[in-house]
Amino acid sequence: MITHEVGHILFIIGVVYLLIRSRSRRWIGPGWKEFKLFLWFVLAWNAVAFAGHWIELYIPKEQFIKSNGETTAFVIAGFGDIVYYVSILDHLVLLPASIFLLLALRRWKGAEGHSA
Amino acid sequence: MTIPWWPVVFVDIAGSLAVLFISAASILAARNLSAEKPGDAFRHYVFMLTLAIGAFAISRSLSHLLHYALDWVGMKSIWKMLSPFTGAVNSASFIAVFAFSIYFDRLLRVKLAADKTELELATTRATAEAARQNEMRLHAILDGMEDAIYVIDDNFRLKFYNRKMKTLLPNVEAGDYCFSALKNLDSRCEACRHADILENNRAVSREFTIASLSRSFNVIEMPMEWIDGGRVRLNVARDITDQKKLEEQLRQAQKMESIGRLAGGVAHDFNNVLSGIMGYGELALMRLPENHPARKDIRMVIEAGEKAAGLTRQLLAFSRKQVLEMKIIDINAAVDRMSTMLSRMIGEDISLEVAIGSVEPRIRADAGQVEQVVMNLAVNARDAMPNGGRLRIETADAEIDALYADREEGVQPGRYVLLTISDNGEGMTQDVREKIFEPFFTTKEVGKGTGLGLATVYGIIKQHHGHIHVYSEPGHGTTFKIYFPAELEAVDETSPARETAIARRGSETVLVVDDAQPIRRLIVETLAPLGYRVFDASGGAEALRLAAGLKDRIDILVTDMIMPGMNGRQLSEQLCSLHPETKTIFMSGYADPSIIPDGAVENGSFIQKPVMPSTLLAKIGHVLGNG
Repeated sequence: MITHEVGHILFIIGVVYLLIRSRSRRWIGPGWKEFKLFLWFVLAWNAVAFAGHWIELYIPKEQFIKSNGETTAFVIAGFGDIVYYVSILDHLVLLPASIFLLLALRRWKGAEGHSA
Repeated sequence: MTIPWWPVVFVDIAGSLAVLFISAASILAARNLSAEKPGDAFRHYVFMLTLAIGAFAISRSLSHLLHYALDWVGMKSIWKMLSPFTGAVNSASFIAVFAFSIYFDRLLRVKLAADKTELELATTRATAEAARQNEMRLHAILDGMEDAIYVIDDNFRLKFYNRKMKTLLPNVEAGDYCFSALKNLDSRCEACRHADILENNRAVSREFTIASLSRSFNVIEMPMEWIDGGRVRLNVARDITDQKKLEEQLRQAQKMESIGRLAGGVAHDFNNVLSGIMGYGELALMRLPENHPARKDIRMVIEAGEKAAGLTRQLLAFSRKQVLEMKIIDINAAVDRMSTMLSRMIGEDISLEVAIGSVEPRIRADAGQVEQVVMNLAVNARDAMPNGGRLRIETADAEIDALYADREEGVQPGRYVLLTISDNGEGMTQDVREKIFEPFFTTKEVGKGTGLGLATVYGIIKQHHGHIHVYSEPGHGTTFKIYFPAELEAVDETSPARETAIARRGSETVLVVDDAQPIRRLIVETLAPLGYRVFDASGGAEALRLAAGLKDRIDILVTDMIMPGMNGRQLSEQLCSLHPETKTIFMSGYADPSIIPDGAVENGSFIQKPVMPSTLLAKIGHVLGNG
C-alpha cells in the first residue's frame, strides 16, 4: 500500500514537473495543447485515486452493503464517503486523459518538428 | 443514505475496457511517431513515456477486469493471490512515468545540443557543398575556355592547367617542367621572362610556337599569388594559328591586289601607246603599194607591237581587268578538247593523264581564259619535269562548307567544280610557293620565261570568282587545285561574234571620242579616206557640244571607256538621248568589266586596245549590220 502511494506521489511529481516545464518552455504547435490537457487530466486522476486509496482505509466495512457476497450499495455517512464514492469512479477522469494523449500523438505524427 | 454500487461497477468495467483499447492505440501511435523519424530523440522520448503510461493503464484496466471476472466465477482467492503483482506493476509504471518526466529536462538539453550539432553539421556541410559547387563552377569556366590556361611555379613546374591545355598536350601532367612540356627542352627557354614578370610584378604578352603542334599562340603571362601564398606565373595562351594564317592570306591578297592595280595601270597606258604604234603601222600598210620596200619593216614593227600587246593582255589578266566573254561551259569538254594539243606541247617524255570526274561540270567562264589557265599550268608542269614525268589533269565536283570557307580568305561556301593539275616534277620550296603568283617572278633562266604565266592564271581565276591552291614540296611535285563556282544552267552553245577585217567604204557619220590624241587621229585617218564623215572630241562634254551643233544624224559613236570627267558609258547614254539612232562602239585598254555596258562584249560593240584599223573597220561593219 505504501509503495503504491509513493508511486502515486512520484507520478504526481513527474506530471507536475512536466506541466511546469510546459509553461516555462511555452510548448506550442500541433499536439501540445492536447498533451497539456492529458497532463492535467492524469494529474487529476492521480489526486482522485490517491485520495480514494487513503479514504478507503477509514471506511467501516459495514458501509458496504452486500448480497450473496457481492457489494450492492454503499452507505454515505459523511463528506469523506462522498469523496470516496466519487474517487472510485476515477475512470471518468482517466478515460479523457487517455483520449487526449492519443490525440496529441496523432497530431504530432506527420508534423515537421516539435517545439519543446 | 445508501447509494447503489452498480454505477461504480459499470464505470469501472466500461472505463477499463475503453482505457485498455485507447492505451494500446496510444502505444502504437507513439511507436509510429518514433519510427517516422528514427533519429529524433524527442519522438523516442515520447514513445518511452507513452509506453510507461500505457503499461500502467493497460495493467490497471486488465487487473480491474480480471478482478470482476474472478469475482463472478467465484474465484476470489486467485485474485487475492494476483493483486499484489498487479499493484506492483502499477507502482513500477508510476515510477517509470516519474523517471521519464524528470528526464524530460535532460532530454531537452541533449536535444538542443543535438540540434545545435546538427545545425553546425548542416552548416558545415552546406559550406563544404557551396565550396565544392564554387570550385566546380570555376573549373567549368576554366575548362570551357578556348584558351589554354596554366600556372607555373618558381621552379618552372606546372601547378595547374585547364582542359584546353590537356587537349593540346595530352601527355602533360602537373609537376612537369614548362619548358619540357611545351617546348620539349631540357632547360628553360632562352626567351623566358619568368623572373622579370614576378620581380617586376607586371604582365607581358608574346607569341610563341609549339613546334610539335605546328601551332602559334599569343600568351599573356602575369604574376599571381597561389593558394599556398607563393608567387606563381599565370599564363593564358590563345591559339592564333588560324588568325595568323588568315592575316597572311589577307596580306598576300592585298599585295596581289596592289600589284594587280599597278600592272593594270601599266597595261592601260601601254595599250594606248601600242595603239599608236600598231595602228599607224597598219594604216601605213594600207596606204603603201604592195611592192613598197618599207612594208617589210612596218610589218616587223607591227609584230613587235603584237608581242608587246600579248604582254599587256597577260598583265590585264593578272590584274583582273580583262574583258571576259562569260558563258556557261562544260569544263570536262574543255579539258577533253585540249588534251591532244597538250600532249603535243608537253613532249613525248611526259605522259598526260586525264581523269574526268565531275558529274556537274558546268561553270560560268570565258572558255578561252580557262584554256589559257590549263595551258599555262601545263607549261609550268612541263618546265618542272626536264627529265620527263607525269602530268595529270582531273575534274571533280566539290563542296566547300562554311567551316572551310571561314578559314580561307575570300572563299565562299557552296558547290564548286574542281580542276586539278598535278605533276611529279621538281616541286617548290615554301619561299617559291609564296611568290609564284606574283608577276615577273620566275625561277627560270633569263629569257626563258616572262614570269607572267602563273600571275595570269591567278588573275583569271580570281576574275572568275574562283580560287586556287598550290601544294608542293621539293622533290615531290606540284599540285594546283582550282575551284570554279558550279553552275546549274545549261551549257551555252552560241559562238561569239567574229568580225572580218574588210576595208569597208562608207558614208556614215562617226564621232570619235578619246582623251588620247594619237588614237583619235589614228581613227580619223583610218575612216576618213574610206568616205566616212568623222568628227572627234577629246572628252564627253566636248562630244556632246559637238553633237548638239550637228544637224545631221550621228551613225556611230566610237568612244574610250575611261576618260576624265565623263566615261564612255555615260557619254553614250546622254548622246543616245539626243540621237537615238546612234550606235556605240566602246574601246578600252583598261577594261574594268563593271563599267562596260551589259551585252557590249557579247554583241561585238567593244574593242580591246590597242586599236587596230582592221579591227575597227570590222567592228563598224558589224555594228552597221553589213560587215
